[in-house]
Amino acid sequence: MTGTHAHLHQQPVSGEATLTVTADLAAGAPAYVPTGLTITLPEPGRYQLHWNVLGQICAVMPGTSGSNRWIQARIVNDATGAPIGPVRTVVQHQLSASVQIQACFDATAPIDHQVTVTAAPLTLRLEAALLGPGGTVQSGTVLANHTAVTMHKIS
Amino acid sequence: MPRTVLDGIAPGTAVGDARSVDIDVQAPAAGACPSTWTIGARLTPIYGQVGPNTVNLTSVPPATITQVPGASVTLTEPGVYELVGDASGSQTVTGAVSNAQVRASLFVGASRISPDTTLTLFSNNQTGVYAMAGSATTRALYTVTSPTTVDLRGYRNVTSGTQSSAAIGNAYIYWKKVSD
Repeated sequence: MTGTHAHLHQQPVSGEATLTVTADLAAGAPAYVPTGLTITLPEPGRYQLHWNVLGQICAVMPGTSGSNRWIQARIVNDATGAPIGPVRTVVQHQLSASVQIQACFDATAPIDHQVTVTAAPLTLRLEAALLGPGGTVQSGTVLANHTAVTMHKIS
Repeated sequence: MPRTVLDGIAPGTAVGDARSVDIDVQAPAAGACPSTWTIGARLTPIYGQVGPNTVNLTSVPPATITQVPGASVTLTEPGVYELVGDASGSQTVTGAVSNAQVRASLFVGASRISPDTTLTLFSNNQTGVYAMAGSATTRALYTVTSPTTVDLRGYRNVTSGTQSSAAIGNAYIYWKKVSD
């Protein structure tokens, strides 16, 4: 037999997920709250993940004392709750002035990391916490539709 | 004499064991001459990550590009790499201030290879003390022909007013080879 051709296609596993319901962090503050966004890594291997986390803090700084609030996000093993990868500050509301200031701050933060899966499947979830004292918090949220994750297997 | 000829693609630029795909050939018994060979492949690019790392820029003059200590990776094989730099920037300003900011990007030596990314920026016209934090990603696709070190650097800057502290924290670099 002659002329046998071998064709090899790169077909790594990939996937994405988007947060569909805005997560309220204020009620549970200062504890980490599951946002509702999860993604499953289906087979053993090394994966690259990109999370984008849009957080918002609305608060009143009274003018007699300051505000110092921030949102922190992390990734955990959905089954065990064990943190995986970096913790990232998403947005901060820290004001000190002699006049009252009502302000909302929004910011998108990345959490990029690589994960090695040995016991598949592995499901990860996004958690966030509203931290810090001061001022009157009106809301602390991780916003739906703009908060999302992508993953692909790299090895 | 029957024989089997295996045809592949033309050799690329990085022929050899450094290629990022492993080919699995399930060989028949010694001396056998099958009409069907089973061949598979798996992705085996090199990859890595470093972090978290931190640098305090408070005592560094504005617009002075400063390496984040430890935020450095070496790409050993020729090829194309995707690099992702993640970092958080924080700053405190006192009183009225214009364009107080902290930025970061990836460098090879003195050459910037990724966007000069804003981590946090603040302007204000009120008396008071204000602290800001923000996080962002700076990415590059970068071609390496010989072992190359990439590091994350950043700086603070302000157009007017007092930036009383600034720092880059939680800085990570993730990388993987995407093409041989």
